[in-house]
Amino acid sequence: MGSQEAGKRQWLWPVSAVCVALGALLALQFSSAKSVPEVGRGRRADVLAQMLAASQEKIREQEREIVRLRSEEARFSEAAAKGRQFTWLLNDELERLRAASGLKPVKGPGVIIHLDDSKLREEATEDAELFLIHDYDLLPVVNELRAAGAEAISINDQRVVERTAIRCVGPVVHVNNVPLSPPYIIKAIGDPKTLAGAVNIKDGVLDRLRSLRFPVRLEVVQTMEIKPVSVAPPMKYAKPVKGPGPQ
Amino acid sequence: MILLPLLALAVGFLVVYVAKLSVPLALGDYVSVALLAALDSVLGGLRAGLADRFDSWIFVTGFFCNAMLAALFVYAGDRLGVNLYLPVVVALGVRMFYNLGIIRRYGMVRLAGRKVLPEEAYEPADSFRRPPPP
Repeated sequence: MGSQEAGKRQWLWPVSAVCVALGALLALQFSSAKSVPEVGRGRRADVLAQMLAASQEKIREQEREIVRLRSEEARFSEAAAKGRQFTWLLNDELERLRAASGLKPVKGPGVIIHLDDSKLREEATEDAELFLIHDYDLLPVVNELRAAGAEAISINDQRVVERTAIRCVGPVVHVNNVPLSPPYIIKAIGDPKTLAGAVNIKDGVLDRLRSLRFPVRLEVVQTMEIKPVSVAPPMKYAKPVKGPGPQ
Repeated sequence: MILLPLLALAVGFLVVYVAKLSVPLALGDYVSVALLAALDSVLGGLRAGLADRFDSWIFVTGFFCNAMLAALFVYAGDRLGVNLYLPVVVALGVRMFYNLGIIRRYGMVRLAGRKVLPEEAYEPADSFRRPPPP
């Protein structure tokens, strides 16, 4: 009986010690499983690292832009001193072209489309990719808005201009080479009825996203402002052709 | 006496739960296999204890070796692109059910007072044994 007692005592303590570890691991797994949605909401470390790298690059680019603009301003004020009338005319034309090419903020009626990653993503572990908004989800929306006569478009305040690219780089969507994170807010200035009708048409671009269970919201506004493109990339290869333009 | 492991389980759970500890998402698989290794060790220890041939060295080294091998499998699986997590789950799972079956038999012997079956019925030939006392 004595040896039996000793045997019992012998297994009790090591097993209890491992039981502490077992309980701790259970709790760890329990709380980790709960925190998955929070971690997974588009703000993961790799996303943030990419955003940091991109914004540092952006700052350097903007510093160069400031230097360029200062020298340009000096040239213009010199020209203004020479011939005031001519400069006014030139300035008017310049303003008009700048607004058209997205270098100035513009204001007007239009629609705002809110897109976000699917809520199903929080439950998905294997195919979380399927529930993310990709470049190929944003492009048809922008295309449809343009076809419906949108005069200015922006995605998360990134103006969509002639040289804008919308594409996925790793886990984030880049617009104008700036990484964006969900929710995506697409603003478009134009005739609100036409724009809303174009994207909201049955089996159209928004219906497709809704059928994939993405949260989509369309808002018609009477006035809003769309920001300009932050930095206009310089033209290195394309040079204007001298001579009369198309008449 | 049998309550001590349960108490230890509750203590371990509460300490981590109250401290709100959590592991990065990437290490989730490692926690899973460590959890399985711990559960397997507890069942194995319980079984050996009931068979009255528990050896704390075998128990402790078994726990750590199994946990490390399982972690190694998960890591290698990650690197090779083969889901080596599965064999760990299957191997430990099969053994846990087997040990549970034996524990159940011992429980029946002790609690319901059924006739003790020969030990060989519980212990396969390949299982480890303490060297017989000289």
